[in-house]
Amino acid sequence: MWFYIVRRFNLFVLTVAVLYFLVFLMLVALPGDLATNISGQQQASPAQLAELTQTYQLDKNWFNQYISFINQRIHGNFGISFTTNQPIYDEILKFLPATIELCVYATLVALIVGFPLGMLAAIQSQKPADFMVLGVSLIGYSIPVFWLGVIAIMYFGLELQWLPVAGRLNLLYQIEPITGFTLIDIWLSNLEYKQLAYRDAFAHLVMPTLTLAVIPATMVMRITRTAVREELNANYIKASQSRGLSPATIMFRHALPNAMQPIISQLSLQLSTLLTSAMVTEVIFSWPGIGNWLIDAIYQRDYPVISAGLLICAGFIILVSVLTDVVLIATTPKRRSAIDGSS
Amino acid sequence: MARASGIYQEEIIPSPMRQIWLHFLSYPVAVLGLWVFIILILVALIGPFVAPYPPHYVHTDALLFPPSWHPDGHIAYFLGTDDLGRDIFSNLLYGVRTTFGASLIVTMCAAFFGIILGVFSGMSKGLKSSILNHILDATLAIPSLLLAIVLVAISGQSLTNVMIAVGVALVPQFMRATHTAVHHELPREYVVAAKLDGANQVQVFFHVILPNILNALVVQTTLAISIAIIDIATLGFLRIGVPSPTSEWGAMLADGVDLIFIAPWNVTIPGLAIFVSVLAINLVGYGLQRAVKEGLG
Repeated sequence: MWFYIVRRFNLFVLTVAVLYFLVFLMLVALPGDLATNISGQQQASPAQLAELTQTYQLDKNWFNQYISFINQRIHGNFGISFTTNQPIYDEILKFLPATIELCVYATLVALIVGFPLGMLAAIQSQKPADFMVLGVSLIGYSIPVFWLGVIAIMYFGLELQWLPVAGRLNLLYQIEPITGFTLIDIWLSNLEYKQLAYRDAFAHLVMPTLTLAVIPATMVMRITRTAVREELNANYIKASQSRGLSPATIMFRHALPNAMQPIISQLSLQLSTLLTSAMVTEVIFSWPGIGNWLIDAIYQRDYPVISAGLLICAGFIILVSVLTDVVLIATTPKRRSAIDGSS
Repeated sequence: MARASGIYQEEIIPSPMRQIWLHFLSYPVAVLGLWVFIILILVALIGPFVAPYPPHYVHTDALLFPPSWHPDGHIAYFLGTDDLGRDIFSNLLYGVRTTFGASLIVTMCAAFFGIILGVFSGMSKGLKSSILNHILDATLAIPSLLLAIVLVAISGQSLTNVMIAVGVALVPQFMRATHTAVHHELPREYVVAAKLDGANQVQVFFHVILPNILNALVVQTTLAISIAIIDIATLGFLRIGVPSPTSEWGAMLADGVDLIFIAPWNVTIPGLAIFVSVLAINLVGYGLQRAVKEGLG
């Protein structure tokens, strides 16, 4: 098994190297000086320029430049932003928790809603419940996330005035950002009205989370439905049925553990869709996360920030896909034979 | 199976393509989706001739008219007007070309290049396959919309650039689908048989593998069209897509957001148009997928 894990790790390193190369190519292709684009240092003095040339080996050939680019980025030097002149690394740390918070809650909602419904559809295959779930998932999958967000703001925010339409917390509550996760920060703070602050934070969370959760929920539904149905048709299920096991035992002890493998591996592939919709959702609800920051950077033509955002998002996706692969390989011997360079 | 009317009670077995088509016809929803799809193509072709007004003609005496079925609406402006007095219906008809038509063209181009590259990576072995795969994995890891956004940021805003960006972002997905399909078929016995018969790589692909993976590719293409529509509309919504003199559904929606409190139809109608076209394509895709599964067993 270790052989496969080492092999997968090699694959990870190579994929990340290719990703860095693509981003490096982008920085070369973007208008402007490479030294400016790569470091964010605008109007550098001759002394600074000499230092940059030294750090990024700009006087050497492209391969040396590429290697030192990776070297700097891996050590947390993402350069400085064109617009704020702050180190990009600090900005990422400031904005990342908000995105993680939103994505984690949306994924939880998607799993809680999608998983049981998908199972239900698989059990009730070709019956009204199945068609209902399928219809809901097709419709949910087709709704553009920005339209849904705007409609939600229009109805629940403006017309009914139930929920706040932007931001993470009312300005009334002064919460010191320690971890960056609102709910944990409220818990850590010594606020007098923690209850009220919690309610406010939840009210802010409801609409973005639900908007973001729609598409992942429909995907979870469809993937679960297909995977569980496939398992339920297998011979070992018929065998356990004829042994007289109860439907619940068959479902939870036999079918589900086997269905989990394809479900997990397919869901990890959907992560990039989740991140894309998270970016759009953040823009609509003025959620101070990575997506909002990145879109702003694109409006401002802030190249170092764009490249850093690309590296963070894509790097995260590659990392998750490798981790799920490793977990799956470790738990299922069946998958080990299938994995090679082609995976 | 239909029986022939001759004296011999022969059973006519429809060809595989025809079987898929017959299965497809047995899903009413999928057929509905197909009709909407055909109508959208027609509108994309003739829309500008049917539209009552030029898309950016400013009716100064008709600002913010609600849709015609509203008591304050006017039948001359079927779906109402926006804050500059532009007719939403005409804009919508012109927008079919940019949002829907462009995504069709983009998908075709992306399918062409993606499938060719996917075949290369699928049919090759060893180092070549592994290099192609790492590049593919890295590009797949970049979210398609993010890739499109960056490409537009590099090359500047114009309809062509948006189309190229969305297309480039779609290519890796086609590559992945083709690669998986080819890899799935390669070790099959009928392929080995063809190889033993002395067929070379090109013959094996075109005569043996291609007919068997065509279905998977068609399904992937319908999926890609819906992704392309959403991507183009999202770029428009974020105002980094097709620049403003061109009618585009996502950009229309973005314009409407500022008026959301006084004129909600500026948001609902373009959004509904995007939703309906994406839903229609997804329905067709779903119908095809099921038809292929059942038709070929």
